[in-house]
Amino acid sequence: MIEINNLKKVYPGHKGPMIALQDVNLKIPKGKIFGIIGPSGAGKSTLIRTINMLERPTEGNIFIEGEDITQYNEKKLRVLRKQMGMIFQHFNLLTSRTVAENIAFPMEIAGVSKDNIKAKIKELLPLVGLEDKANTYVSNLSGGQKQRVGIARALANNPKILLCDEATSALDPQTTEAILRLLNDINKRFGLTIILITHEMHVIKEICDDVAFIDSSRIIESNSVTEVFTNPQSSIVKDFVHSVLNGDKQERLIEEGIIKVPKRGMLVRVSFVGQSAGEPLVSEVVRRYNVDANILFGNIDTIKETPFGTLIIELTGEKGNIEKAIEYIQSKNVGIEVLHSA
Amino acid sequence: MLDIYLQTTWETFYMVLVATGLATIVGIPLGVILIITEKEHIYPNAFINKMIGALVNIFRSIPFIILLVALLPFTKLLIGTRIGTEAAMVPLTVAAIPFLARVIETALKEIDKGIIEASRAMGASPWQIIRRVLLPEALPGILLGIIITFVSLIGYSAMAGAVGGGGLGDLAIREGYQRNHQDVTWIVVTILVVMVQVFQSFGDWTVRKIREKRGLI
Ligand SMILES: Nc1ncnc2c1ncn2[C@@H]1O[C@H](COP(=O)(O)OP(=O)(O)O)[C@@H](O)[C@H]1O
Ligand SMILES: [Mg+2]
Repeated sequence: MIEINNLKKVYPGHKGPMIALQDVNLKIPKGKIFGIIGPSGAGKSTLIRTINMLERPTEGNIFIEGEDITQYNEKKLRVLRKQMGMIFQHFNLLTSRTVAENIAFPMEIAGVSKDNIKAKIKELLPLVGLEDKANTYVSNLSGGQKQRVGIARALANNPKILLCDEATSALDPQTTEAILRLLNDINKRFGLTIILITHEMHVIKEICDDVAFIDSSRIIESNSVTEVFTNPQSSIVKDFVHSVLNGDKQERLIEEGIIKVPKRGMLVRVSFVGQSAGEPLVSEVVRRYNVDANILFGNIDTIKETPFGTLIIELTGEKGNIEKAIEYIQSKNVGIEVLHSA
Repeated sequence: MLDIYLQTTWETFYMVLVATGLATIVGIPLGVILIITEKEHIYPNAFINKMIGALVNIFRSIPFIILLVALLPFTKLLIGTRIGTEAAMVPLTVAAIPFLARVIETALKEIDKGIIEASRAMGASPWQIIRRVLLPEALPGILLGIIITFVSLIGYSAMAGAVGGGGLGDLAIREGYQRNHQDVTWIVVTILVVMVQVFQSFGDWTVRKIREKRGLI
């Protein structure tokens, strides 16, 4: 477990001090994939770089398994960093080395014996799907292949934590998919904690268990991904969720009159996690509160491996009953949002 | 007569080679120190950076011919004589060191900051980064710098000949100029031109091969 307490980072900029992080408090559970998302310049890279102390925080503490690493000296930090992997947006591989030699690099740094290095390379190459590229210089690889080398290199010393700074941001959508699947796979297989930085919500939706939203140097919301999708709090988080769930499309359907705004009653969006949790609930509400429910639009998606559904429903009936029905739905931990009320 | 050309060509080659070699031994560490002591590099130290930078600049701004004369007492002290091939190596080396330091600094500056960042993230020490990252990554640029130094010193060595430094320059001055044997001057110039061409081409070829192997071109 990683615990970040009251973290603050101030850069001495030439136009005066620049606050990159403030009041950052996070608990990152062991063995999970933890996403940190926010717009460009929010402080994401600064935050992830404090976790291996490439950037020393101005204030606050970071505990890894109970040890405050902000108190470590350089020598202790080097030992710590050998137990952490890191991958980057631009891969940062050594052009003077082949694929195998790049993977060997962190092991050489850690003083691993030649035989053990060889054995580890043999084990890692198939894991990342690069068996046939061992002796290729990295400049000859595609972006996706380069990131696979980056991942193999990051895993070489059997780290317990993997830090990913925009690891898929330089890749095309298909390659992004493949790399995300690989990261998910690694997380499951080795049980290692992955902390992943991105500005793309679909990356969060695809593989993260928990997510923290960062904006202008502050964490604005932190929760499990399913909770964030069904019950977003702040408007920025709502926008992020919206952007990845075809929310725009639904709104356009309403605007264009394809989904009719009811003359009486209410138009609501219900979002639910897990298999078929939505539809039984709707029929139950109809029975219990004597309202009519007309499903206008339905969509099933997945968050990580969990099904995630959205329904746009027209509720008609007595106003009091409708309100009770909405309260009931809320009490069932299903997200509900009133889109239109007559 | 052929003997004298062969011998002086060898002398020139020999003194330039030794001077370049010695300058490389000193210049690489200086170039490395200049780069790693920069702000936000692996060993920031403004004082060392400014001091070595200033020292390098001072020596680089002294014209070679003045350096040649100014160093004569030092050469005498070091080698025991002011004339001859060995003596000429001293000013050549001293002139080449600051030049090489800057050339190597430039080659090291080309390295992507992200690579250094990644090495730090893997727990590499500054020394490991220098030896396993900076120098291998900058190898083509460093080799090019050494070749440029070598080729420049061929020209400088002719000047050293003016103060009895031996080699082709010495021959051109004594035979060509002082005894007015213009043909000797022309042959010496031709040999120098060929030497420069050969070494520069060899250097370019080697560097191109390395870059090709690494998939950089
Ligand atoms: N080394 C630095 N010196 C000064 N300012 C910096 C430095 N690194 C980042 N910043 C500033 O801190 C803010 C956050 O940067 P960063 O963490 O890179 O954001 P993100 O990764 O979310 O895009 C930005 O405004 C950036 O300009
Ligand atoms: Mg960033």
